[in-house]
Order: sequence, then structure tokens, then C-alpha cells
Amino acid sequence: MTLTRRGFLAGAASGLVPAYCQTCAPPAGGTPLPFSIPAGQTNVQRKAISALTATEVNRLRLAYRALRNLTNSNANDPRGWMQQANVHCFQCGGNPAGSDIHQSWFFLPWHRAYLYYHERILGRLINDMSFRLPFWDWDLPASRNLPPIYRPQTVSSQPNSLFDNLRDTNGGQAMPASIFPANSNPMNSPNFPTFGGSASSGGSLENTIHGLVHVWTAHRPMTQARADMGRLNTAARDPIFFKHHCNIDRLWAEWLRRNPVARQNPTALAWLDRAFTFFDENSRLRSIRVRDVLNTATNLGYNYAPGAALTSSAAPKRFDLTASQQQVVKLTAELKKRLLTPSDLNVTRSLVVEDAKVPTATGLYNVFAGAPPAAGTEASEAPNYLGYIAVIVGEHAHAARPASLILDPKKAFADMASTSEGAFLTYAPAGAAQGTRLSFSSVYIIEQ
Amino acid sequence: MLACQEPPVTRETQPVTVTVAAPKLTLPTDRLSLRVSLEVPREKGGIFRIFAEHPKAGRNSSVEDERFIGYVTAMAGPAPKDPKKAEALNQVSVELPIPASFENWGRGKSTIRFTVIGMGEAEVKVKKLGLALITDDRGVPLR
Repeated sequence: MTLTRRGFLAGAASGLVPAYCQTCAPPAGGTPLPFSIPAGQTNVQRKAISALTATEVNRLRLAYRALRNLTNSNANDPRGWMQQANVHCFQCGGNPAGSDIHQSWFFLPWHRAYLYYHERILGRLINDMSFRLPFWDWDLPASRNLPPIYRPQTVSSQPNSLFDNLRDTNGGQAMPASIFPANSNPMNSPNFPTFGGSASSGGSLENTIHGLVHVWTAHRPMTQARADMGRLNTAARDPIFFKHHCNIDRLWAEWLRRNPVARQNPTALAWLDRAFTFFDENSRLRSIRVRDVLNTATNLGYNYAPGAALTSSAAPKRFDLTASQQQVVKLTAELKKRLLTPSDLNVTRSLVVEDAKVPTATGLYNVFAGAPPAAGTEASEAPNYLGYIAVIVGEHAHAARPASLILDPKKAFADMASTSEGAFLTYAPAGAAQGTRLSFSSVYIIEQ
Repeated sequence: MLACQEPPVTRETQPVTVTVAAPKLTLPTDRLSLRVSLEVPREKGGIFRIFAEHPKAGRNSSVEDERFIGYVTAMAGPAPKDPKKAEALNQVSVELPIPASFENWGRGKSTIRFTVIGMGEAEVKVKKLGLALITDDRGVPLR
């Protein structure tokens, strides 16, 4: 059985809902107003916690202090700390009358919308609508412990609003390597169902790092589900919850960014038109659809800097290549040797084309290990097909952004190139309507 | 193309191994995903590791083993009033990409064994488990 929130509220009011479910039911909010872009909202980049300035850390602490104070002054204020935590509890699936956004394709968009309204509430409380949530950048090895600003119980003799005593990680212990197995990197998922889930199943991002960091934060051995972070109904009572999910949100954007043509969000209306309700910074109930949250810069007022995700090294390795006029990119002997084996899945290996220019709106170029297939053969069916690079101009254009192809770590380059000279890559225009000529300033392979 | 099996296993704290048919792959670049549904006590949740072609895998088996497929994390929810009722159980369905190491342990085999290991005290009933070809929205294989 699935009910809307309004239906649930009606049920709660009539006494039909079991008592244990009522503990995290949201306050009544009337008919929700549809989402609209707030006047004056500007696009501000969300930063890593590790990159916050002292002023920004202070602002973050002030915001959560104000949020906690709101609960103390009026427990029914939907913007207050416990009410905000209960928003997640309500979606935890423990309530048989409610819907569960976990283990499905709603996991990512629902949390994005949740973070957005949470962020705006925090901004309003400190009277600074340019406030943006930071993300816990545990994809970098140096950040694989609880961020230092979250650990102390007090700061300058005052309670630290970012502290939660129901953590097993306040000592700054390092995450175990088993959270980031080389053989199971969700960022290499080829399609949305395996990355972010489908109508009937969860994806690898939710089931690997997301869940593991949740459970680890509350119980380092990860053998028991402990409050707060280790349980769905209590997780959002820990302020680190929102920063953890900010990084999950960022990885969604990063996964798409790495190959915006091959990697797509679902197009089903059942996904795009699904609406969720949240209270906004003015305590008004808002309805927001999945399609409303897909363009974060335009609609939600934030973006993330493109960056490495789930890398094993903070310093990327770059291997410059030389290109001939025959659309051939030559590999050095060192690089050829390196490509003989599939890469560690903690390592992302990309072919990068800097400052690419095409004569048409969009240029799509197939890339092969060695020679391209004979004319008339479907490029993607060639055994040495590596993928394609896309140069996009127009709506999604980013002038300073290089075009790149993530080289599938599954594919052993040597196997595909063994029938050819094996020492070069070729690229070929894909489709007659596409750009036929590609010019660029440099081409290289990068490992992160 | 989904080869699925409903194994007759009861809820276990011990590793559970299930053998499933492997879809025939047309091209070397075809990719597979593992579709698995686990039933776990909602109040306890659980972290589960899945290995392929490694029936002796246990809690101490390394996730760096090339036969490691991935995790299923069923996060715990609130305790139900009546632990015997259906809502006390959570069915978690997940689709995980089969990693590159398939080339080493799975390519050419007609059946594949998958072992599901609950970490800690996690109990699990494997409801469904199968392999499917990864496709795009139109059903075209993604390579």
C-alpha cells in the first residue's frame, strides 16, 4: 500500500496509523505549493568540508546551532532540527503507510531535494541565502575519516552544533579500505539502473559507499546497525548525514559529467514526474518533482566543481600523447605497457582531449584501440571499440571543460589491440551529421 | 535476457551459495549485471558481500579478491511493534554491475555460483538472484 503524505496525515489524524509510525510524521502543511525558482537565487558552488575557510566553518556551526535552537523553542516548527531529521525518518520504510525512496531510482533525486530545502532553511536562519552545504569528500583518501570540525563536543566552551555523541568515529579513525574495494567502483557503472537504481531496485552507489559510510560512522566494525547514522530512522539526527549525502549527490553529478552522452538519467515519466513534498525556509509546504532537481545550477542554485571521485591518489598521473593528421593518437611504449592490463577500479583512466573544437554544434567521435573497423561495420560492435568522446556546444557547453572518455577498466586494451599494431588509438567521426573535423590543443591519458 | 533463480533457502546467518544460468553473450564487450533480492529483518538490516565462483568465501574473505562482486547494504529501520508481521521484513532488490574480472572467472561458463555473506549478525534469505545483460532504455546492449 502506498499513500501520499497528505493521505498519511489524514490517516494519522484518524488514528489508523500504528503508534510507532507517528513519531516521525511531519506536521500538517496544507496544500503544497509547486516548486518555483526563488527570486534572487544565485548559483553558488558547494565546497568540500576540507576546503572550508574558518569563516565558513563558523557559519556552518552557527546555522546548525540556530536549527537546534528552533527545535528547542518550538518542537513543531517544520524547519527545526528534529523535524528536519524526521523528514528522512518518514521515508525510511519503517512506516507501512508511507513510501520508501530507498533502494529505488528515487533515492538520488529525493535526497537532492531534501538537501536543497534543508540548505535553504539553514541559510534563512543565518540570514545568508548564499549559504551552501559542504560535502564530505571521502572519495579522496585524505578525507576518509570524520571531518575534524565534527569531532569535538565543544568549541570555545560552547557545544559544537556539528557534534553527535552517537558516533563511533569521533576519534578521527580512518575508514577501512574494504569500503572502497578496487573491484567494485560505482562510478564505473555503465547505466543508471546499476548506478542509481530503477523502479524496482537500488543501484551500486546506494549499496556500496553510501550504506557503508552510514553504518561505519555509527559502528566502526560495521557488524551492527546503530543509531544515529547506522539506522534509516535516526541517520539524519547526525549533522554529518547531510554532508555525506552531499557527496553522494555530487557523485551523481560527476558520474553524468564524465560521459554526458552515454550516461543518462532515466527518461520515464514515472520518474520525471514523481513529486515529493518538503517544507521550505518559510515553513511553507512545497511540492517538487524529480524533473525540477535535475539541473542544479539553474533550478537549485548550486553546482559542484568537476573533480576526481573515488580516487586512490590525489595527484593524477598524466601521459601526453602525440596526434597525427590521420586521426591517430600514438602511444608511447610506457603507456602501451600500462594499458596492457585493466586498471584498478579505484583508478579512473581517461582519454582527455583539451580545448576541442568542432565545426558543428555537437561532435561525436568513436575511439578504437588500433585501427577502426571496415566501413559498414557498426562501430560499437567492433571488438576494439573503446567508446566515444563528445564535444558538446550549446546548452551544456563548458568552454573550459575538456572532452574526455573514461576508458572502461574492464577492457584489456592489449586484447583489443593485439590484432593491430596495438600502439595507437584512432578516432573517427560518428554519424554523417556530426562534426567531421576535430581540432584540439592536446590529448593525453590521465589516471586518477 | 534474465536468468533468474529462486533458491529454496531459509534465512541464514551463514553464507548462502546460489547457482544461476549465465546469459549467452554475443560480443566480448557485452556487460552483465547481477540482480539480487534479499529479505532481511527490517529492524536489523545488514551488510552483505557477494562473491562469484567462490563458494568457500566467508566473512574474512577479502573484497580485493577479483571474484568480489559488490555489496548490498540493507539499512536498518525502526523496530516494528510486532516482529512476526510482514512489515518486520524488508525485501531489498539491487542491480550491481558485474566487474571487469568476469573475464577471468566467468567468461564462457554456462552457470555461475554466487555466494552471499552477511557481515556480523546479519540474517538473509536470498529471494531472487540472476544475471542480466546491461542495456540502454531501448534494450540495446551497452558496451
